[in-house]
Amino acid sequence: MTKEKPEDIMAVPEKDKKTFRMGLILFTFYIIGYFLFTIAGTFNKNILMMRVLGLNVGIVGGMLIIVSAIIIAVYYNWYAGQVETGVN
Amino acid sequence: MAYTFQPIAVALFLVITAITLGISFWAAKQVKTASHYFVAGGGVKWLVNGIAFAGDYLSAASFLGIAGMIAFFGFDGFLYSIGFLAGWIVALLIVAEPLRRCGKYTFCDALLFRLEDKGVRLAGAVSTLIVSLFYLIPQIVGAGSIVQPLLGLSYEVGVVLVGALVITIVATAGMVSTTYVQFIKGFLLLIAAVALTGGVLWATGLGPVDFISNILDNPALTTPSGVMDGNAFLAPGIKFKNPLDFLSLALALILGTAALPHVLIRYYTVPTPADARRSTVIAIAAIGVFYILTLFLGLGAMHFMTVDPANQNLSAPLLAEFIGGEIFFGLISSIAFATILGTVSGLIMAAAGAISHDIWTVYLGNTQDDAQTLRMTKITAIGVGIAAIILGIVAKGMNVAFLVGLAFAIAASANLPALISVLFWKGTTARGVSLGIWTGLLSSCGLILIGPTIMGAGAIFPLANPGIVSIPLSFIVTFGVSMLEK
Repeated sequence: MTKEKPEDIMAVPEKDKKTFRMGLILFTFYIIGYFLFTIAGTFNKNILMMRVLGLNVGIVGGMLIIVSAIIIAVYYNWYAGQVETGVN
Repeated sequence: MAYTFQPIAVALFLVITAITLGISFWAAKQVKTASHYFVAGGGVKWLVNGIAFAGDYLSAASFLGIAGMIAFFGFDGFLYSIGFLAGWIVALLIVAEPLRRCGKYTFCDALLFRLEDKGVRLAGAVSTLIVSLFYLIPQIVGAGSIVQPLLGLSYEVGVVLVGALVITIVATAGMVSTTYVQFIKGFLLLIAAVALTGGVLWATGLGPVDFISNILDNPALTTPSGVMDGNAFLAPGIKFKNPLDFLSLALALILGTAALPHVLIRYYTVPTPADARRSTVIAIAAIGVFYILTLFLGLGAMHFMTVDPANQNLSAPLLAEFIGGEIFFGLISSIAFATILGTVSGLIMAAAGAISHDIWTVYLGNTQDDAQTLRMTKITAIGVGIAAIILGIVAKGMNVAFLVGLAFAIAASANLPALISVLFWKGTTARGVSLGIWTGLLSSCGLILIGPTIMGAGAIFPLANPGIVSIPLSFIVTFGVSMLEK
């Protein structure tokens, strides 16, 4: 027995939509970086073996993916806070 | 490798375990209702919840498994660190706030926010149970591995010991206890990782970049997997001989986190969606720092050859013993053990909630008051704990990070397509969601059964991780069936 509920969880306040849009933009950038890193590791690992900053691209790229996740998370939280308080 | 009884290490182990149990019994007094038991009454502070998130997520796989994987397989092990953290971006930016707005206790409640359907609830509950069990196995394996060198007991006795302790924690206090245990061990784990990394760099006399550069520059690096070029060791291909295995694992890791039931349940333990978001940010920062440090733990274990060829999971504790002797070994092992207690508690909570709340109460229509719900959940928790003990004994000797990678693939296949479609697409139908969950669940588990993990060299499916096939398949079924029905 299926009963469709009338509520639409996407029917959220404009503030939340704004925050979500920013989330999608950040997510898109991040996922492109992760995708390129994964494709390089899968099909051309020589790219990840190239030396850069005393390390190789694989290690630097992996660290960047981790560090950029932290930066994105902090920025997103700051942005959402601004939107919630009406500053943005 | 032979291990001997170490009295100081055992004393430290007993103290930390006693503190963990003490917190559990104290928290038990606060449990008054089902809401308190399942989601700590929704009243946990976001900072505490964030560290508890990290404490929950940084399981045996992160501390024991990844360090061992990096020590044995170099970069292929580091991929786990990268992917485990990347998944949090999906959780934070896509899932956290919409999910917090619509859920109550479990993953199923979130699915049913728009579609009230018994089939969806059953599929969601079974999926929660399977994913939690797959995630439980590596934790139990990790516990058994630690107890062996620490207490001189057999692996099997260690597994039974951790199982009994966790059942005691969960059956007494639920999410309140679990939250505080995870909060404390999250902190301890970060401190332990920093101390071990500092120890590695101090022992080598090198800075962090120079330490890795030295490994890269070594044309004849001695590793647990053999002598090889350092740059090759720190590039893909040592473990994942088939490049598609690398791709499949990367896909499962980034999509799995947001679909783990025991992670999702933490969005409901804080008062507001904003608190859920703040918790996630704290978790990402803590987990991110920890995963960067895992590279030094693994490479340190490889550099000093503090590895047990028969058990990759012991690389980090043995590294601690090499750097700081028996006391450091006891501390690190005890923290790892507390880590496992915290994570397993959360997993059993999620699995018990799925059975008692979603299947017993709602799907089978057994109306209960709060006291009966609590009693039923605690009985279920004991049953799940016993099942985990048996499966943990069966999985003896496997790398725990690898096993968790399989749990991520199942979660990403069975849960994520359903969650995304329900949260963001009005055209989703109940049949689409339930068929999508069953497809993801059966295809991922089926491919694991006919893959190299179970069948070895004679595997029918060539990849160790099924994500590359089962995740897209589940998305296609979820959205395809929904579109056909409309």
